[in-house]
This record gives sequence, structure tokens and C-alpha cells, in this order.
Amino acid sequence: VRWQLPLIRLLWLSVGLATLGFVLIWLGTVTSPIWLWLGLAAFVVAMLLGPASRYLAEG
Amino acid sequence: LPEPTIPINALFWLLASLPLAVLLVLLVALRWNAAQAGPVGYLVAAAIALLFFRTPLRTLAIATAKGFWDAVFILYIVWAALALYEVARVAGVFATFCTGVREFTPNRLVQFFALALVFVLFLQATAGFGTPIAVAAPLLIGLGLRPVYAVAFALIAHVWGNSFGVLAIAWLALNLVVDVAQPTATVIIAGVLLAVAVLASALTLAYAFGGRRALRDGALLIAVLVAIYGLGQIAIVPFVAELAALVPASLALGAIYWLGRRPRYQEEMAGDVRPEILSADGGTCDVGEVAGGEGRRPSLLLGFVPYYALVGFLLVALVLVRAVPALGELALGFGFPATATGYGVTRPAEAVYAGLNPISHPGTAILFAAVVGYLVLAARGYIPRGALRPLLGRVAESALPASVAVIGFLALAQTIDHSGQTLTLARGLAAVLPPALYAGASVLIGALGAFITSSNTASNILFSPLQAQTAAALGIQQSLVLAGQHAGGAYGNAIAPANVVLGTGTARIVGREGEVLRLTLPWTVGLALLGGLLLVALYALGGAA
Repeated sequence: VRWQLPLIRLLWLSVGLATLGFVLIWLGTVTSPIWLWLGLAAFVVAMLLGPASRYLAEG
Repeated sequence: LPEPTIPINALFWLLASLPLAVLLVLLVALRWNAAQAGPVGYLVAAAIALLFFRTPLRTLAIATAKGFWDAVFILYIVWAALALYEVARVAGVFATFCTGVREFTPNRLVQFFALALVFVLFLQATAGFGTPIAVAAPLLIGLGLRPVYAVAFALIAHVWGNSFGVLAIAWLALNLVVDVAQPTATVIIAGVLLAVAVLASALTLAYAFGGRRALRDGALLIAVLVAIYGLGQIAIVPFVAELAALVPASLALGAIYWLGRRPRYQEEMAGDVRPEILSADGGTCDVGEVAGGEGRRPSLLLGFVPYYALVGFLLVALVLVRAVPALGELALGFGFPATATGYGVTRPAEAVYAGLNPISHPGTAILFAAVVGYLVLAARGYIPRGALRPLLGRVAESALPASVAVIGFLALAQTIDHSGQTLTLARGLAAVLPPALYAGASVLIGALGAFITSSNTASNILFSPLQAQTAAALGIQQSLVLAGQHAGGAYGNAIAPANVVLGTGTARIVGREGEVLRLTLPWTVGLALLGGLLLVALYALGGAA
């Protein structure tokens, strides 16, 4: 894989995306549901980064 | 409300158990670390919810967001505990502590018990939420234990304090969701199950530490401590459940001091410490990485400043939130609408979901301790200038994998709850078991709830209504199954992945959660079977309603 990242950066990315997902889902419950779908998508990507770190993390 | 209509059959039961099975296989058999396995567990749970449990995407999203918020609750402790650990490490507090405990008594078994059981249970009684594991694991490493054992021992030791710790929050939660018919009988039976747990913890710790000779050498120590915890709780709990852990845990602090001063325990322990549990240095106070390493170390009195600050803050907060209702009612959080699935599993709307009280939350106490410890120890020259930045970097290094793992676990927990998978698991057990066996299985269900949520309180909220309904349907005394649920919720905390991650984080062995689980899983299963057998016996003695 050409675009490996340091593990710590991948984990920051995962936590950041999960946080964004949470905020968007909550926003989607009080405004337009579109935010809710986007939030869930962000959260799922965040969770994919966990197992993906086996292959994407440097070192 | 209409009853959920999920089919309770082998296929649905297997589907509902798949996320937890995947989690266990990845962690224990394939040795994935928790940051990799937790998210996979969530993704499997989400897929099963969508494909088989008629869960709308909106319900899945709200469950996921609630799980994230639950994770914030736990991660506040994780990040703060890691900061406290780093402050203590940089200042050389662990080496000082190690020396201090050894000067108190040369008996290594007493030193070990003072920390691994008495200190752990005091923290569990006052702070809970995994705090004792996060705080005690590095201290046990300072005493010379290998990190995997330090975490496993803290997990095994803290079980007793779960059900009535933190002013009996788990018991209060149970009362919120169930109309408890026989509260006195319920808490006494739960007290007996917890007494069995603390006896099992003490015997396991002693045996693991020094084999049969340690059991013999420590018989008085074990007898006194188990009597204080086990019998003390049973005596207090019918009258003031809120103090049923705090009072015995405080008395035990005095008892270990008194015992440690007895001539019998002022001698070296009989026999040797098992070599396999000791770190490579053989348990000397030169604990390498975890010591300050600069040569200059604070006195015991000064080195313990962060821990005085921790306990002091906890006690003040406990009193404050009781004495000033406005402070007790503070709750930071987000509101969520009601959810439903195609099978009729509903969850009500909540104005503030799982509100976080910034005063009584143990994360604040630990953070306060870390800040006070840093300021005092830096002012006295034990923490070098410029140490803050690398210190925070190391905190992030350990806390980030733990964060991904905990977010995954708790999003999984809420997903299987909101989609009805948890309900299916418990109903499946209730459907196939005869009443006597169900009485016993109530412990396993409570433990399962704690395994899923890493919380006795959450397990009680999740499963108590189901347990009470099943008891009524099967003609079992409600007190038996609610006691089984309540104590089982405590048992399950020894294997709860989020708790394990708290320990591996501060023990700096992130990624080795499977090794810890291999030690605590058989112990917990054995304890749950023992507790279950006790309830089966009580049922046979007149537990039919």
C-alpha cells in the first residue's frame, strides 16, 4: 500500500471522524435527516479505520 | 406498549450472538488488539441489525450516537487516568511508592493485598467506572508485577465493589426500571453472591501470587478482609444500600494497616512469589520504564499528593452532589428522539441522554489529581521543565487506541440494544431453560450485560425488566433473579472489554487485551457458574413464587 500513515495519525482520524459522525447524527435528529445519514456514514468510515490500521499503519 | 415480535429461535439467537462471538474470537483467539476488534464488532452488529432485525437506518444512527456518548463518559476517565499515570511516572512516584510499601512491611503478600485488593476496592467504592483498574494497574507494575497480570489482578479484585459502589448507583438504576417486590431479600442475596465474589478474588490473588504457601500465610489476612467486605456489606445493605460498599471499603483500609503491623506480617512471606507474574527485574523497586529514572525521587508523602487529591476530590464531590441538589442535578448531554424497529423494539425519547455531571464524574477527580500532582511535583523540581509536551504526547499515544476500542464497544452495545439483539439473547435463554436453571442463568445474563456495556448500572438498566418479567412468567421469586442480575453485573465487569482497555492503556500494553482476557475470562465464567449454582440451590430451597 503506497499511502501508509503513522498509526497515531490513523487513530486520530478515526476518533475525529467518529466525533464528527456523532455531531452530525445529533444534528440530523433536530434538523434535516440528511445530516443523520452523513453522520452515520462518517462513523462507519471511522470504524473501518480501526481494522484497516492492520494494513494501513506504518511500522 | 406492545411486546416486540422478534422470532425467538435458534437462527435469531445465533445472529444476535454473532457480534459478541466475533469480538471474542478476534480478541482472544486471533489476538487482534481492541482498537481493531471493537470497531469490527460494531460493524457486524450494525449489519445484522439492518439485515435481520428490521432496524431502520435512523434507529441505527441514533443508537450509534448514544454509544458514542457513552464512550465519552468512559474516555473522560481513560484520558484523565493516563495523564495521572504519566505525571506519576515522570516524577518517579511509582518507585517511591514501591519503596514506601516495602518499608511498611517486608511481607510481599501484604504489600500486594494492600494495593491489589484494598486500594482497588476503595477506589471502586468511591469512584467506580473502571477508575481502580486504570489507577491501580501501573501501581501494581511499580510493585514488580508483569503488566498483563497487573491489569488482570485489578480486574479480578474490583468485582465486589461494582454492585453497591459509588453510592449504590447500579442498585438505584435497577430500582428505576423495575418495581422491586422484595428489596431486602434481593439485596441480601446479592450481598451473598458478592461475598462469594470477594472470597474468590482474595483466594485467586493469593494463590496467583504465591501458590498454596501464600494461601496459608495469608489466611488471617484473607479471612479478615473477606469478612469486612462480604459480611460487612450484607449487614449494612438492608439499611443503607448507598453505603454498603463505601463503609466496608473504608474499614478495610484501617484493617490492612493494622494487619500489616502485626508481628506475623512484619516477616517475609513464606515461600516465593511466582516468578511468572513478576517483571523481568524480579520485582525490585528499580522499575525501569515506570520509574522517574532521574535519580531524584519525591518522598512518599509528597509522591502521594496526586492520590490524596484524587480521594479528597471524590469525597468532597460525593458530599457536594448530595448536599446541594442543584449540583447533583447538573447533567451535560444531548437529547435524542424515540426509536423503533420493524419488530416493535422501541426506546423512548430522552431530553438529556446519560447526562454527565462534571462534578461527580470520576474523570474530573482524576484530572484534578493529575493537574494538582503536576503542579506540586513540578514546583518541587521532580518534573523537569519542558516535560509537559512529551507527557501529553505519551498520553495520546496510549489513549487513542483505547478510544477507538471503547467507541466501537459502546456503539456495538447500543446497536444490539436498540435493534433487539440483546433482547433476543436474553429471551432465548429464558425460553429454553427450566425455572431452576433460569434462576442460575440470571447471573450469566447480568454478567453478559456487563460484558456488553462494561457497567453494572447499564447491565441492570438493560436486563432487569426482562429478568423480572421472566421470573414472573416462570414462577420464580423475583428476589432471586434480580439478585442474580445485580451481582452478575458485577462479575461481568472483570471481562468487560472497555475495562480491559482502561487497564492496558495505563499499563502501557495496549494491544495485549487478549492476554488479559485469557486470564480473567475463565475466572469470571467459573464465578458466574458458582453464583448460578447458589441461586439454583436457593430456588430448590423455596425459590418458587
